Amino acid sequence: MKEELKKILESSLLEEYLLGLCSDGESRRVEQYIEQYPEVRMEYELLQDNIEQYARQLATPAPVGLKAQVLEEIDRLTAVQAAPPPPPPPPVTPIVEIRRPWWAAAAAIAALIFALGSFLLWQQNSELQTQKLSLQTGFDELKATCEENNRLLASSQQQLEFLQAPGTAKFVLQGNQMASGLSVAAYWNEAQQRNLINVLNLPALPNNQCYQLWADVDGKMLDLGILPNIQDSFKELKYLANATSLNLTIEPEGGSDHPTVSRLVANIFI
Amino acid sequence: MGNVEKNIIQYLQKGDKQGIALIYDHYADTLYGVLLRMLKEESAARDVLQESLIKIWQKGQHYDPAKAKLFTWMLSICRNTAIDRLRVRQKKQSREIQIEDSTVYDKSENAIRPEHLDVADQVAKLEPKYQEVIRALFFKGMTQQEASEALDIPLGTVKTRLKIGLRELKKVFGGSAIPLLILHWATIV
Repeated sequence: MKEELKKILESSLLEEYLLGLCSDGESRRVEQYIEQYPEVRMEYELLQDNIEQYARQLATPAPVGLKAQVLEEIDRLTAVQAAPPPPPPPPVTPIVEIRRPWWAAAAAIAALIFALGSFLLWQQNSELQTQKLSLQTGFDELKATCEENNRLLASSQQQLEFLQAPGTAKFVLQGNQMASGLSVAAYWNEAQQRNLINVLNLPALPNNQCYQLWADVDGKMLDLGILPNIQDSFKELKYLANATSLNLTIEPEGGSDHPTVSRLVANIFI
Repeated sequence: MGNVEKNIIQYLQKGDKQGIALIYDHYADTLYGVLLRMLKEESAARDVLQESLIKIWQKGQHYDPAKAKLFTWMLSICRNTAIDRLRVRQKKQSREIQIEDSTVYDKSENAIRPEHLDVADQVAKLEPKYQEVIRALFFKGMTQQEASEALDIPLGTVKTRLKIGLRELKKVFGGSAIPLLILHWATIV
């Protein structure tokens, strides 16, 4: 448990969480760590205090009159939300003693109808504005969820289509004694000039090391990318034409520009 | 948590505008300063601060103090509102930039001036491969995909180098570099 705690505190997980770099799964994990470990919570709070402290150094007097404007806007929105029912129209008293021309009465009635109509339209508009605001918020949230789901679905469908494509060949890299149990499947398609790497099992490495994949092209080892350290994950790496073999090495974290041949853990001809 | 913060949270949860009045008195100058740095325009910073305060009032009932401190939560609302504003502005500017045959990244770098807060000095002490990723993302306003193309390295490597770069900044420079980067995050849209 202490090891796990040390690893969390030394990583940049909390910073990534605050930067919005974490996936949904990672965010849930960070929230769980914050809840589970008081040390992580303290670190998280310290980081937030630092942000506030730095932000305060940037403080600039806010524009004069803005506070009143914001509070007025809130009053307006509150009034729209809790608009009272319209007052009943005043009773029309019959004209007995003074006779007015018929068109005066017609004009008065028309003006009354117009005023009532305007009031109803204003009220309807206010209600629609409130509904629009609420619908917009709901719609934005729904849209974001939908887009994320569509993205995941499209990505899974693309992966499946690629795996089932006629030209896709599968190669399995098995680890040697330096990485016993390592198993990584590479799906290679020359016609589509694409690949997909499936991490089946990666033995754990120290924090400052990573697994990097290389392709042998015309006798030169060229970088394909760093493998994600997540079991059962699929990842598309850079495709290189005329590759004759795939080679996996252990490199310092962040990857190297040239492979460390002495740390070759798996290779396969394709 | 201080008494002022507690009062603000109570007011926000009741939808009472007194909460916004208190927020204004205690945080408006700070939030305005951050927005001014992000947007570089007084009128835009003023509009975004007004819009953000209304959002804070509207969302106040859903604020959860267990997940983030009040300031972090408010800053996040301000930053997201500013990002929306920057997106609109960038769309308008993109045509002019194409005509001038210059790159959007150089413009952003001139606009952000990270050296003003010594962030650049701190980043400059990192290994070059991490530096180039941090610079592309934070000071040049690129997305991770754009950085991958511009630097000609796989997207996964960009993500990995970003994570390590952040961790190294934290390890070497303590807690100061990351908050500064967070305050510049608005350019990454």
